[in-house]
Amino acid sequence: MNPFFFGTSEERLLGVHHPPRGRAPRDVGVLLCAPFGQEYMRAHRAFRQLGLLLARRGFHVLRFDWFGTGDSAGDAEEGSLARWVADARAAIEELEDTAGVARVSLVGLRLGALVAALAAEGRDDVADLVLWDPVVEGRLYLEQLRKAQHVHAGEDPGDLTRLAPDAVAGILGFPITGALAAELTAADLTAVGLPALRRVLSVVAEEREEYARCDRALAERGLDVRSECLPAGGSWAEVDNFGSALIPHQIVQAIVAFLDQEPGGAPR
Amino acid sequence: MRERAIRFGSHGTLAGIVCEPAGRGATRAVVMVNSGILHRVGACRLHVKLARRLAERGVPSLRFDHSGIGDSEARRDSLPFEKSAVLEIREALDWLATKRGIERFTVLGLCSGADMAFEAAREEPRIDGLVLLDPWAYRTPRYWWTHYRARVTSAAAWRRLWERHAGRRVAPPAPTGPAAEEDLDLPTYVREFPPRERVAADLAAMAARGLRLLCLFSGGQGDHYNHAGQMRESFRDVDLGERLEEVFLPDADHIFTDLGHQQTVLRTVEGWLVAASDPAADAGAPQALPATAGSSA
Repeated sequence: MNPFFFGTSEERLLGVHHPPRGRAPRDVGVLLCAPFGQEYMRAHRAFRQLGLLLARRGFHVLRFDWFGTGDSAGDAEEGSLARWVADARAAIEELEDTAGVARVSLVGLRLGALVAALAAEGRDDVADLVLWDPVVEGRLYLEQLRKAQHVHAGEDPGDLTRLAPDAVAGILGFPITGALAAELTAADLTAVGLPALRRVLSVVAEEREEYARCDRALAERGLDVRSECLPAGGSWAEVDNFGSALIPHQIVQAIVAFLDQEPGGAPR
Repeated sequence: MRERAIRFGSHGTLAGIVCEPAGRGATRAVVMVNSGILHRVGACRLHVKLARRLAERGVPSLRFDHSGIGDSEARRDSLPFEKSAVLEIREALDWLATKRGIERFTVLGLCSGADMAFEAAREEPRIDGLVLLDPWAYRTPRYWWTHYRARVTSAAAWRRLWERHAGRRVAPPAPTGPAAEEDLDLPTYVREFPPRERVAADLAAMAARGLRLLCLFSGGQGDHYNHAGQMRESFRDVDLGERLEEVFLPDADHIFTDLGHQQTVLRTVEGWLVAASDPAADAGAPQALPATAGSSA
């Protein structure tokens, strides 16, 4: 578990590399793409666990903070979907160079799943894609955040899809700018031009129409989609006074098992 | 401003980010510790924002993860968290002393982080400043007055009282979810406030050696703190004088999720720390930049 900075000198990103432990290294690396805002805070522990477990299966794993989030450079207000897609691509290349692997599987949680899918567009070095409780429609995600903020603060922040370009809304302790909200409003995972991925795992903690729609859309494109619903307590978009982590162990184990069985995953 | 990811500690298993001004030569640094199991970026990224603002003002900092939290590996020994946390704060000071020649430190923490910062300062003479966010608090007569005044005028409180007597109150649901899903190798810490007399004795000893405190209370700890100046009042038997700056943000929650409250906290803490880091400050007490909320110095 080695934290380091990568990226350009002006836009350094914090990465944590989990090198393989106790097993011969695999020829595919795994990049973990984090959620945003309070969901990122609550997911940090689960990502650490996932990274450690995958490293024990012989994978080089990289998790990292998006620009403007965590320890990475920039203010949260400077974050944008386009920038984060570029971050994910930079992280794929960093992992390939650092680990000496030719291909990378992407695991994305919540907004990280949408960004991972966008980053995979047009690439031929992405092996598998894991969509974990994915943000399928940006518009729905903004509505979910609006409701969560309403519950948390007792005040409705209003329709985030209509946020003025220069406005900033505080959502569960993190800013959403009008520019980011506009990008999210237009984003739809089912419309992403995914390349010919080897396999897709859609793993969710509850049944939702948006998840089913996403699975259908990806399958209709001929992708090998495996769907699993593994109910877990708690919600990502939630604030409590103690900053609790959410670790859906069954889902973490399911992701490890899925990647562990990858067809080309034999030790080098 | 420059940031570097470091590994330190006796086994090199602690992860931290050192954030420094462009030039060297600082004589004081700030060490930021975990709040609960939130990793080193701090609640709502507070530590990152504060570290960068401080570096712009010439003050270096180190934010790090205790063993088993964030990106630091779990300890192999069975030391309780209260002991290992203090040891690890001292290892953070050692790193800054060895690598940067810094000898004087302020430690900052929220909630359990405030507890550990205080415990470290009891043992470590190099710590001469503490920034404690929602630290231990002790009720005063005025606390009880504020507490009951709010209730006697609240219809909901009367309703609850009636329901209790009428036996109609529904028991709160049993806790579920996250707590049951915690990772097994997480350090455990149950927050219990030490006896007031012990803390009073510690504060007296700290004040006698010149330590200064900025204590900032949110409204999220209303079971223990509910009026500006309560800390000073609860330690009336300790001569804290200008060594204590006490700020109350009654509308803020415990992890400062409101963006406006975050700015107030950053401005207050930054002002106090920058003043404390000024060599001229040794002659007098640092003053926090004016906060928008109740402040008692």
